[in-house]
Amino acid sequence: MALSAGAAHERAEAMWRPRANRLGLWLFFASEAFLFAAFISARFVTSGTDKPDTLNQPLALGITVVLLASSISAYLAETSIAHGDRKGLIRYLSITILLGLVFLVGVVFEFREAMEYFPPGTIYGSNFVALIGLHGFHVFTGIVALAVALGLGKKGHFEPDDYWGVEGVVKYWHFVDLAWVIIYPTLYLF
Amino acid sequence: MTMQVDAVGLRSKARLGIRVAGWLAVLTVVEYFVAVGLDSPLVWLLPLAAAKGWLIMRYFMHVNEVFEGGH
Amino acid sequence: MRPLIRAVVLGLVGYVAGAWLTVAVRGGSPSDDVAVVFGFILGLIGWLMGIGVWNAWAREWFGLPAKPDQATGWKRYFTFNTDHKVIGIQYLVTFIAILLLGGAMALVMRMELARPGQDFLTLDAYNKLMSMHGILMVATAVAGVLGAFGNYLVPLMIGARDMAFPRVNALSFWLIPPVAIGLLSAPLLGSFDTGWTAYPPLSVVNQGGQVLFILAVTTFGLSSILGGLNIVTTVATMRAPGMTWGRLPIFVWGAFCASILSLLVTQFFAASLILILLDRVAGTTFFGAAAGGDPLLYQHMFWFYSHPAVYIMVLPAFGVMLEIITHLARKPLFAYKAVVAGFWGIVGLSTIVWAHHMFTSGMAEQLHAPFMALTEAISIPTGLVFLGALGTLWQGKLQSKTPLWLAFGWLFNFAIGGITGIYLADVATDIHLQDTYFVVAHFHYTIVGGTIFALIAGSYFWFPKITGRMYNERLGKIFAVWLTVGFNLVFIPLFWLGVNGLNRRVADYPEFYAGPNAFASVAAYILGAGFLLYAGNLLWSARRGPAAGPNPWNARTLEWQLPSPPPEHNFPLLPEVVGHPYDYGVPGSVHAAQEAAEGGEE
Repeated sequence: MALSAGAAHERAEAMWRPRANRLGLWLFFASEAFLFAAFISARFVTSGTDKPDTLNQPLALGITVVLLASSISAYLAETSIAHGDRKGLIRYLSITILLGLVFLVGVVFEFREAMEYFPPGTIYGSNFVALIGLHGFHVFTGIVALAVALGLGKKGHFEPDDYWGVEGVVKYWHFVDLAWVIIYPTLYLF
Repeated sequence: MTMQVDAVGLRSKARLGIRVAGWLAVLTVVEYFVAVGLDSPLVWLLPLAAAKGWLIMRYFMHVNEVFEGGH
Repeated sequence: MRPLIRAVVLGLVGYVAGAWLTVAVRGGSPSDDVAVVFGFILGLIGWLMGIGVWNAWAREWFGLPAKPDQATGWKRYFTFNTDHKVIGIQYLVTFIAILLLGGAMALVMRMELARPGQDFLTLDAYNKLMSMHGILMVATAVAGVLGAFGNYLVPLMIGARDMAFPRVNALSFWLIPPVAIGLLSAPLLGSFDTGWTAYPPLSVVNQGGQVLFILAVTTFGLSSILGGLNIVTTVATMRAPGMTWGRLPIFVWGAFCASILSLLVTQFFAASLILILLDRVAGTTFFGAAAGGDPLLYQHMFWFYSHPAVYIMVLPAFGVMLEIITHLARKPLFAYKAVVAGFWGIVGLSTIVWAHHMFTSGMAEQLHAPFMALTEAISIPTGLVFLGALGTLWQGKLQSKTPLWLAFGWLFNFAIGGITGIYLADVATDIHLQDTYFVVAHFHYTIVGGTIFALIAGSYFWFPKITGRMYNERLGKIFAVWLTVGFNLVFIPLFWLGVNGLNRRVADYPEFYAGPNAFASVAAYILGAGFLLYAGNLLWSARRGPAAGPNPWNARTLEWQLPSPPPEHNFPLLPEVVGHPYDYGVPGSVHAAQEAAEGGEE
């Protein structure tokens, strides 16, 4: 045998490791999708497609656009490091975090306003609290993860052929956006 | 440590991402006006949300890579 | 032991900090629901960081080098060790301990039930004890076989050096002790009296122990999800060269299918419990009918997990039993493809039958017929699994060993469990039998008879592989008979009690039911005493048993081609799989190429 056992195992791992990472992350998303599906189905079971007229539609559209914009900058961050542009990575990760924070502030503002019109003691209010809370928690963890990736990127981690950390975090951030794509019409539009 | 920046590849990928984001923005605005304008918008909103979801999964999250090997 | 002490200290500090910070911000008492929530969350984080998540993992998030624990020998079992074999043994020992604890609680319940009248437990105390017994045993059934044998065997059987995500794997295990601590300390806050099902409205208004139940069970769900994710990824991406899907050992199929279910549907249990928690602490009204909520919503969400959960329990158990049967009958596994198709059929059907638990709940009438028909359709794929077991035993060269004796007991028990399930799936009979001891007897036949028998049989069958030593065969066989007979003596009378209308979850009953109850109680103590023999045999043999050698059963699958116990990272050279694992008696058949076996003996 030309290869030592250790080198052979390293070569084998290089083959399956990227596939395993991606599959594992997507399985996690599939699992999370069931969690969101449970909360969303609770909304339709308990209050059908009813919604109060007092929802702040312009604000909701605004934060939706902000979250969408943060997905572009996250995409650009990943594309930058994949093509060797570390400055781009740092710049776009920072923008993504900033937009994420703007979204969170918008949600908190909207939440305080909403609680006056339809408090949690009403059934729509209950669903609003649960869905916004669940999604807000994911936004928060996404921002923390982006900040960790930003810190590592600034310290010189990640290379064009080794950036799983960025890829995973960015995919998670897109998933948070994807969840909002479903939750936004669920709460505001139906 | 210096890295080689592949500016041409970066620019074409970035353009693709921005184009996709443009479509997402258009769909979101359509969604909003459908919801405000129609009485029972459910039938229209579902395909719109599905289209947006597909764009994000296909172009931003690269779902097709799960079914391929390696980088 | 240092990491464990660190974990306990940081966990306690976290709990106290969380609870007191909550009190400082909003006032009230540290035993309020909200304070318990924040205490538990910070306590959990402290526990995990202490046990090794910080050193072995989280340091990397800040650009620091990870410092995995280097402990060796028995100390490995008390650290954040990422070897899948260590984790499998941690699961096995933990859940056998919880099984014995839950069994002891059942004995206390049977003592109360031995005679009519309230003897020494109050009605309230009985309900709380019954609830604790329920949730501990459900946890054992969900994570016992899958966690212990799934972790220990899946990488060995597919020819991999570890799981795909070893640190996630260690995390899955180390989430379990806080679950146990949370549940067992619930009595400090008044415990929970809802049974393991935690139906509202009771679970929204009862004492604070319910909050610990919710937090602990949600944490347990996280552990199940991460464990399932790991097994699916490992099987999908890390099979040795030549280990095609059609050559996977049947246990791997069972663990894989159960993991898919556990990965996806567990979220619905978490979601339903989180909604209860919100109703308790955030003032929402999901289950308060007065303000437009719907208590039935909980039952739908809960059973959307908890019916598939019985297949999360039993699919890996099917795998264990079919492994034992085919190796010890010395025949190819009969109808391998049909059995795998049966597993997939169970996965598919199990998610669309949940409302058969709700025929008397007042849900929409038009749901009754479809849920009855779909539920009864599950007997078809389950029948395929039985076909595989019986066809393999037929005219086999049966090796009279303890695991095979237990397999016969399993076949008998699970057949009874399955057949009595038809009466509960059928709307007409279920309306009479709902919430009676018939249900209790039925699910003990499927879960104890199906899953716990597999946990025990597997712990004998792979005992020589795990410890390198052989258990005492004579004592093993005595226990196999004792367990099978004792189990049936306890639970057969309960069918009669249920058909005659005795409700479950009550501490007292009319004189009419005295005879069978007294009989079941005596039998329960006989059954319980048998476990001393089980524990004694395995504990003694693990230290003093004769050396077993690498392959005492002369079995073909990859784990038996390695030394006992297998070395760290299992395979010095990756094996090359060239044939089906169970071709016993087929001339010229080989499972794995020779290099693997030689490599294994280096």
